[in-house]
Amino acid sequence: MLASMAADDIPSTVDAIRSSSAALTTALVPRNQFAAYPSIIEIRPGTGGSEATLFTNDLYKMYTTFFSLQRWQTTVISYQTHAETGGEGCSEAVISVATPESYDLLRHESGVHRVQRVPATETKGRTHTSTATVMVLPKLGEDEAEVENGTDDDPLAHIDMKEVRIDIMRASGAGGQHVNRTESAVRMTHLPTGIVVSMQDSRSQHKNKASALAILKAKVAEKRRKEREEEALSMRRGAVKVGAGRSDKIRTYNYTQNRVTDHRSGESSHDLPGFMKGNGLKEMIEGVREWDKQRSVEVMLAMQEIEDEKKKKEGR
Amino acid sequence: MPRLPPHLVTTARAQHPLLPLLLRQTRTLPLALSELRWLREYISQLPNLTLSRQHDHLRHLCRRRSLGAPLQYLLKSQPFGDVDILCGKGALIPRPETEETVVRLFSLLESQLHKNNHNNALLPTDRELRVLDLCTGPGSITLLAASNLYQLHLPRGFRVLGVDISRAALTLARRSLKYNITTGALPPAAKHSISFITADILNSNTHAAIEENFGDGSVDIVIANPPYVSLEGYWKDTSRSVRLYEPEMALVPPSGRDGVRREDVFYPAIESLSRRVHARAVVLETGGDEQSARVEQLFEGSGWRTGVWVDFAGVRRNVVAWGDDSWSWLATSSHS
Repeated sequence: MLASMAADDIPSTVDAIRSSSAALTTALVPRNQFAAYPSIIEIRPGTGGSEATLFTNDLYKMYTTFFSLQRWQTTVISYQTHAETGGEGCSEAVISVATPESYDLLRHESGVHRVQRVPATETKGRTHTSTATVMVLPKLGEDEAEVENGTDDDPLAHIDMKEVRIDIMRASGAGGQHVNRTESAVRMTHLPTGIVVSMQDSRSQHKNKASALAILKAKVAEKRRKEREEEALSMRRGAVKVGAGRSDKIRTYNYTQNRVTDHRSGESSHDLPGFMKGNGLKEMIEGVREWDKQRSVEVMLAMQEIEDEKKKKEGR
Repeated sequence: MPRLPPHLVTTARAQHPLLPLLLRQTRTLPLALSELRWLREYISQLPNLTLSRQHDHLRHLCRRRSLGAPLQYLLKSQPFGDVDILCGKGALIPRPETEETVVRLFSLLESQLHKNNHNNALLPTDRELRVLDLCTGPGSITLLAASNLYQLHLPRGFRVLGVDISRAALTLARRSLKYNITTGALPPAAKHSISFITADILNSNTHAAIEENFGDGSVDIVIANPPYVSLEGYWKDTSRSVRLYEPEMALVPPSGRDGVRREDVFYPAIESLSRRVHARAVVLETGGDEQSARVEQLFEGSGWRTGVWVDFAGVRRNVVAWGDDSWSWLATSSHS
C-alpha cells in the first residue's frame, strides 16, 4: 500500500527534478548581451566555385521564406547575383531583420554551412561538396552604438585602436564643400584577429563607425571567450578534442540522402526540400540552443575546476 | 562623366526597376541600393500613404535624384553625429568631414577634462563655457557641439552661438533646433543654450552682436566652416549636384581683398574676431593641404600656436590654433 503510494510519486518527482534542472541551467547561463536586438544576416559563398553561389542562393531563399513564416519584418540590404551561373547564383546577400530578439535565435546560424549534392552544372553525375558562410550580427540602434553596449566594461572586449584599420569609401578629389556624396560605408578590421566588420546602415559615417566599432568589440570578445572556453573544456575532458571545432562547419545539407544534420546538436531533419522552405529550421535552432546551454554549464564547471585547482596549489 | 557600363545597368534593373535611375548619381551598385533603401525607409514613415501612392512617390523621388537632386534634400535631413540637420534650398548640406571635425574636437576635450578631473584651467570658473560657430549655415556645427557638450555635464553649463549672413539658412537652423528637441536628440533646455544671429563677419558689426549675446563678449572656442572654394575650384572641382542645388554663397567667398586670395577671405576675419573675443582655441575647416598651410601661416603670424588635423580621406582638412599651453592638446594627431 505504502509502496504503491510512493511509486505513484516517482514520475511526478522525476518530472519536477527535470524541470528544475532545466530551470537551473537556464538561470545559470547568462543571456547573450545582444539577445534583445534585431539582427543582420549575411550569406556568402565559401569553397566550391559557382556551385557555392547556387547554394548561397538556396540559403538565401531558405531564410527569406523562414522569415516570412515567422512574420518577421525584413529588408534586403544587398543581393548580388553571380553572373556566371545565369543569374541563379548569389555572391552576397545581406538581410536586415527588424524584429527584436531575432539576434538571439539567428546567432546560432553563424558559421559554415556545407552542401553535398550533384550540382545542376555537373555533367558526369558526381557529388560535390561546397560551402557557404553565414554571419549574423546584432543590429544596434543609434543610442546603443553610442554607449557601445557596455562592452567597455568587458575586459575581453578591450581592443587597442592602433590595431584597428578603418577603411572609409572615399571619393577621389577635393572632398569637403566640393561634393555632397551620400557614401557613408565604413569597414573596420581588427588586425591581430583578422575580424572584419562592414557597416553601411546609416547615412551618417560617424554612426556607421560607432556601430562598426561596437560590433567589432563584441566579435573580438566572443572569439576570445570561445578560445578560453575551448581550452577549459579540453582540459576537463582530458586529451579529447572538443567537438569539431566551433569555427568549422555547423551544418550539412546532404541532397543525395535527403538529410540535414546539425553538427553541434547532432540532430537531423529528413525532409530536406521542406527544410529549404523554412520548415523545421526553428526546431533545429532550438536544438542547438539547448546544446549551447548544456555546453555553457560544462564550460562554467570547467572554469570553476581550474579555479579550484589553482587555489589548492596556492594553499599548499 | 563617363557612361555607365551597360551590364551594370542591366544588373541593377534586374534587382529593382528604379535602381538604374539612382545609379546615374551614385555610379556604384552598392551605394544605389543603399539610397533606394533610405528612400523607401523615408517613404514608409510618411503618414497616410496607400501602397500605390508610396510607389508613385518613390518613383518620383528616384527621378529627381537621377537629375542630380541631393538625396539629403529629398529626405529633408541629414544625420550629423547625434543630431539631424534639416536640409533644403538655401543652406549647405552638412558634410562628413565637418561631422568628423566636431566629433574629434569634443572627444579630445572630453578626454582632457577626464584626465584633469574637471579641475583645471580649461574651463572658465566664473561663467559657462562659450562656443562660437561662425558661418553656421543650417546650424550643423552648433547643434552637434551642443549635443556633445551636454554629455560632458559641465559644472557651469555652456552656450553655443551660431552666426551666419543668410537668413534662409538660419531659418532652417532654428527649425532644426526645434526638430532635435522634438526627437529628443537635444533636451528642451537647448532652447536657452543655443542661439543663432544674423551677421556679416566680413564687416565689423559682428563683435557688437556677439557682445549682445555673450555679456562681456568673450568666447572660449571658435569653430568655423566658412566658404573656402575658389572660383576656379567651383567650376572645376565641385560636383554638378552641388552647383545646381547648393547656394554658391556657402561655398565661394564674395571677393578677394588686400592681396588675400578670394577663397581665403574669411580666415583673416575669423582670426581677428577670435583675438577680439579672447578665444582660447580656434578650429577651422579648409579646402585642404595648401589652404591649410596658408591659414596656419596666417594664424602663426598673429602669435597663435597651430596644428593640422588630417581627415578620413587623408586630406589636411583642419587648422587648429590656440593661445596658451593649456590647450596644446588640440594638436593631438588623429587616431583614425
